[in-house]
Amino acid sequence: MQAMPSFDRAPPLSLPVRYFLAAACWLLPLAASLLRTDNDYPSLSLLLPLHLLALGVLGNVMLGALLQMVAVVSGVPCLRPTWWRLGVWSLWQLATASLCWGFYQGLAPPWLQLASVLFALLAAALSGLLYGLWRSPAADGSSRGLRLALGLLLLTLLLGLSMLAVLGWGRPWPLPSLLPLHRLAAQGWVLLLVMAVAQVIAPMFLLTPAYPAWWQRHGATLWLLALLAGAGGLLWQPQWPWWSLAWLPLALFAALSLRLLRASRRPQEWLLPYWWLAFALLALLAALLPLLAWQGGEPWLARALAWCLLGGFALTLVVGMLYRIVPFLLWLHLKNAAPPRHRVPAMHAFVPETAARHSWRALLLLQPLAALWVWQPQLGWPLALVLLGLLALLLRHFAAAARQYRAARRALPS
Amino acid sequence: MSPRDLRGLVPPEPMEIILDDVDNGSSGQQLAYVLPHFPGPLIPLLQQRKVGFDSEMLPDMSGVVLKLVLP
Repeated sequence: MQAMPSFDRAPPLSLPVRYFLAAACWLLPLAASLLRTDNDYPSLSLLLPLHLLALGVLGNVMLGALLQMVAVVSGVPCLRPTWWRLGVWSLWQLATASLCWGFYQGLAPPWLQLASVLFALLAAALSGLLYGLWRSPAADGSSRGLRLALGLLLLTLLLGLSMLAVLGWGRPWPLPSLLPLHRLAAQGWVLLLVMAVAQVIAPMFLLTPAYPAWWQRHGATLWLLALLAGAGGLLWQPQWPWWSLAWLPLALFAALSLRLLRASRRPQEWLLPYWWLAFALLALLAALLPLLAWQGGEPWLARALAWCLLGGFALTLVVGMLYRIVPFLLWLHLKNAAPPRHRVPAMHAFVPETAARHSWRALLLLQPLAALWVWQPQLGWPLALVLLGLLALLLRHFAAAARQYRAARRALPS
Repeated sequence: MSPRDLRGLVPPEPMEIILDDVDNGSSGQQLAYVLPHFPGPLIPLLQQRKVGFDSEMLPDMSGVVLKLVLP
């Protein structure tokens, strides 16, 4: 008989919410960092906002969502919620702050050394989670994708740690080989997590047809093999365009997803525009990638590719997911606390649709302003201003949701 | 008994329908539903109500059949 995953130890509500709240707060230093981008590449003034966005904003949301997903999708019980809520959460914030402060201080070794110690502890904690996920009997496409995504997050961290060993501790390792591998692994982790999540979210919330069975079975592996082949090629012949191997699954994922979104049976759904915008930006990334062959070292192309993947595609999906997942979690925790047959408030009582649509407009406005920043990096202030506007909207909407939740919780029969 | 297809509904509607059926059903009654994905968040609520459950993926992977036996 096939073993059944255990779904009775989901994390407490405060665990993912704490990560989500931290993510919103990292928008503030991100906005500030955009005011000092120069027109060089590679440049610390680009590395700083990239890491604030990747680790501070996206990393927090993705880690919070990952901890929730491994429990409710793959049935891996959350055995030490306090450790994940306080220990790992604090390590993540401190490690991100140390790294980014080290970048701000012109690669100051003490901060990079501190960051390397903190990220090493995080890598150890995440290895334990990966071990639990690997042992889970869940065999669906999302669980397979989550395993691979977490594996790639660990690989990204390890490659980042290797670079910190060079920059902070003076190890004589080849930085020019480590950097493209780190970038490739980071790209792989973001895409793999989105692929795993999309298989659940698109049919469930957007009422699209399911992703094709061959993609559900082999999409994540195909992407991983392409990344491995690209990485092997980079080590063997660094001057060849090995990134093109990673281009095919990325373009395929964008095309498949856009086709599914067209077939959504819920065109009035507010989450749909978020997904259209995100996957249009992924398609733009796929269209821009071949330019690397002719414009390899151009700073504008580096900024454009980074924005399309992180600020465009991932940030749009992540903000949309927050508006869907936070009210759902609030509703679910109330339902779990309520006695049978007790009616709990509907999800839109926590966060109304209009709130989600306002933030989508802010994200839409971000895109032309990001294009302006890509073209003229000294014009980062309009982009920074709208990011601050997005932060204000998120804090206002989720504070209102928290007030609604507390009121509903008090109204439960004792 | 053919399972009730809840794939056209947005969460948490399928969960509410299933929990309503469970709360209003009779002892030993069997229920079956087609859902877009395995309903992880529903499982603790079913266990709270001591409902037996089993699930299987549709052959084309377009959904999951959830079978329940009420206590």
